[in-house]
Amino acid sequence: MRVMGKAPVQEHHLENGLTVLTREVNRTPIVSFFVWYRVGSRNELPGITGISHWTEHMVFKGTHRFPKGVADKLVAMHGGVRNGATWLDWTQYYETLPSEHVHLAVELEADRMANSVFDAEEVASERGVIISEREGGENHPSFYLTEELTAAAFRAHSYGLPLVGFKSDLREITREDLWTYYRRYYAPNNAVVVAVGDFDTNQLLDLIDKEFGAIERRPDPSPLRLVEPEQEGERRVTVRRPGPVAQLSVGYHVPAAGHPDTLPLWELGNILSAGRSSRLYRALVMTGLASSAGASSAMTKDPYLFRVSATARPDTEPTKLEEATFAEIDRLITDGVTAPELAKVQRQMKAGHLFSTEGVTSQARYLGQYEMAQGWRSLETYAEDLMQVQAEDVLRVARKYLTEANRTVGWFIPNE
Amino acid sequence: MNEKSLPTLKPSSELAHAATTGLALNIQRAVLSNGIVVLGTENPTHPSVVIRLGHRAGPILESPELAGVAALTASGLMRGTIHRSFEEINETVDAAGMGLSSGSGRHLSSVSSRCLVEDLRMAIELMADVAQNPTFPQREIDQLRGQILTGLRQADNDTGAVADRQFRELVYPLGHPYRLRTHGYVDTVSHLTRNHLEAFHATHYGPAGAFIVAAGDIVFGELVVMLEEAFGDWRGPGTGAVSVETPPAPEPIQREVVVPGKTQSDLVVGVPSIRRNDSDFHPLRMANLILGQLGMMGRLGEAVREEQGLAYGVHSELDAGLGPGPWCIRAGVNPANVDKALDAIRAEMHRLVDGGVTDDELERGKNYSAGSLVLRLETNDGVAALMQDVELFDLGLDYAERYPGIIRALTRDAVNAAASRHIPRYEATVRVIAGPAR
Repeated sequence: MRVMGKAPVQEHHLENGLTVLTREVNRTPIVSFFVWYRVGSRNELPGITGISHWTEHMVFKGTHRFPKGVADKLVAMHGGVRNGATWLDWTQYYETLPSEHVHLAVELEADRMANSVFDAEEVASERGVIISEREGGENHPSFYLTEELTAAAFRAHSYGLPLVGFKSDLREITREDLWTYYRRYYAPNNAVVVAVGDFDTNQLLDLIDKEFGAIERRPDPSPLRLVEPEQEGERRVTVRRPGPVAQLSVGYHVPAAGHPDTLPLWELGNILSAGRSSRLYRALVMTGLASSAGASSAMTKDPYLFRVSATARPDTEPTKLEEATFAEIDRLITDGVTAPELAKVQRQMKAGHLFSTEGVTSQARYLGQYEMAQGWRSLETYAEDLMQVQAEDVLRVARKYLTEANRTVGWFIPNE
Repeated sequence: MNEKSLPTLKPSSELAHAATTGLALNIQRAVLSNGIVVLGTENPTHPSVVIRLGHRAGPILESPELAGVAALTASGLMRGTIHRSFEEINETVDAAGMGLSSGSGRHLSSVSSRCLVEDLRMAIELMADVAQNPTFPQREIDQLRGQILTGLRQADNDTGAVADRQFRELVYPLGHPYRLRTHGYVDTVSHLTRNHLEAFHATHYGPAGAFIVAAGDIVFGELVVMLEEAFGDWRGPGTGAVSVETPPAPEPIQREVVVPGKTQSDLVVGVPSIRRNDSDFHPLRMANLILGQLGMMGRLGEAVREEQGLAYGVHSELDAGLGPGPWCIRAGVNPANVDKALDAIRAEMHRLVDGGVTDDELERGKNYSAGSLVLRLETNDGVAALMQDVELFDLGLDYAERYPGIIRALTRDAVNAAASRHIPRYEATVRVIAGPAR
């Protein structure tokens, strides 16, 4: 497999604690400029669930320099796109735009970090938007299933709280709550800039230093004391609501990203469900029990879940689908994986990685995700590291984590 | 908003220059011996290729009683050929780590692959085999039908999909190809047989009207030789140009559909609009951009989301195709806010038609349209999608190069005239609300 040579990632640090990752990619005159904040629903408590996500919405509401709506218009009129996203461990913002306008992204993001206004009227109006976003999710059966499953899987860790927030919290969170949250977490020493694209690194660093350098460092957020106790028996949740078909979702506790078991677990997920030659596709979809099936684990800062899911066909008895799913996992645990099967999955993952990093936006997004969870350097060695995983590693992690005592089984059952 | 509040605005002439440079896409064209058209773009900077075979055999050819046959046929291509079983196709595809899929949109059915350049020959052989030699094995087709039926049941429970279905049924008359759902309906798909698929394939798949687009690390001349080897012997009818009739103006109506167990209502407000090759296409698309897309969902986003906080999502869209596809506004709102949201939508529609767009909005819309083309053409997927449009709508091989000039030439008068011709009074629209009982 031929992989093009590419410029290395460079890591830089400003005096105020801001980390900057840059990679020059000069094949298209585009730059993608991200700022990642080390704050997400992981940092929330009961009573303020959803506040990370709501804060993300509020920092699109303007500053004195770029009043509400101006930044969106500027980016659009320069041919760019911008967005923000909130997740368990992070909140992220980006602009991707023609490279001659990169200064606009740097100015907007520095200004957003330090000078967002949080106008009280805007908070009031955005409450309706946030609740509408949650209600849009509620229209999909999988929303409730995910919310119940994660709540049951986590007792001590905030990963069990809903990312978008409970509606009762969304009705009550105040402007002061949001402002305090913003001031605590939106600081250069809690953020990472990632820039990938067609720029001169030294010129871009000068610009970043000019715009971000003057923002004051703030006290580092206190480390969170979040340790999920070991699960010692299967947990089950069932959601009964109107809906079209039954859905199964099973969560197994697995370690944080960067743990030596992480790559074997990712490969296990692919062996189970990547492509139509995968084990779950053949056992569940080709047999007519399910219309789709999946298995994967996310990349998280703290231990999270390996999830196995399947959507039942309308005429499938849920118990049959569950038995077939666990039978397939048992078969893997008993017999292991074959060398050709592993080689196939590793090639799929290597090629998939190459496809998914074709554009500068996705390259910058991957760098940021890795940096938030386990450090960007493991992205650079990903393609080599995944080839080092042996069949016995996959079998070992399957036996270690895919156990009955370690799982939470969730069902969505249509009640009409 | 006025110009003074845009602090880092550059002179538009400079932007225009930037947007017209760096876009030499150099689409090359060839025709295989049996008439299949090939468009290709060489991009040696990434060792992968995106390649698609398109047939004009989409759901627009279906009769209502066989709705879903185009999609089932297209998906069924992958389920086995005279040379390879479904399992063998899957093993080959997964072992190479390539993507290979088949399916249909409204106008086209296609077989697509994304692969590493070293696997291109294998991808082409597989594409040629599934397109020319499918056997539609009974067991596999039954299984595939089950998957599609599950998806249709899910769609019947999805407020957005329910609203869209109802909207199309009110906007397009019986028998119009844009009325039908592209994957059919539970009661039609349930009755489709292998014979239907074989007949659809035999009638509509073939070299006539077919085209292949490829973007990536290719040498065009070598690609054409490979394609000639794989596809050159294919004989048969195929499907040439398809005409889609203009529907009569729909009867204005507001219809509510109750979907039990939901929290939010999905709204659709719209009418049938214009064809892609209508001379009003670019000015109307610009008016629509300003109304419901530019920045944070345009004027609609400003009014419905930013000022009133009624919805997370509201936007307008223009789906101009071979025929007059719909223009519509969509929003997802709490049932208690449906009337307020419709009021705001009415006000913005009328403000656009009566007052037109401003010079400032038009300038921003032009810069966005011209500049964003560079972003869209960054990836092989984006380039392949553009080439597909070039062939389907006969836009010309130099379309990407001409596009910034087309956008620059749009005048405010032209945009406002197109808006007033094609964006109706609110009272003349079809409106559908799908969600919980109100």
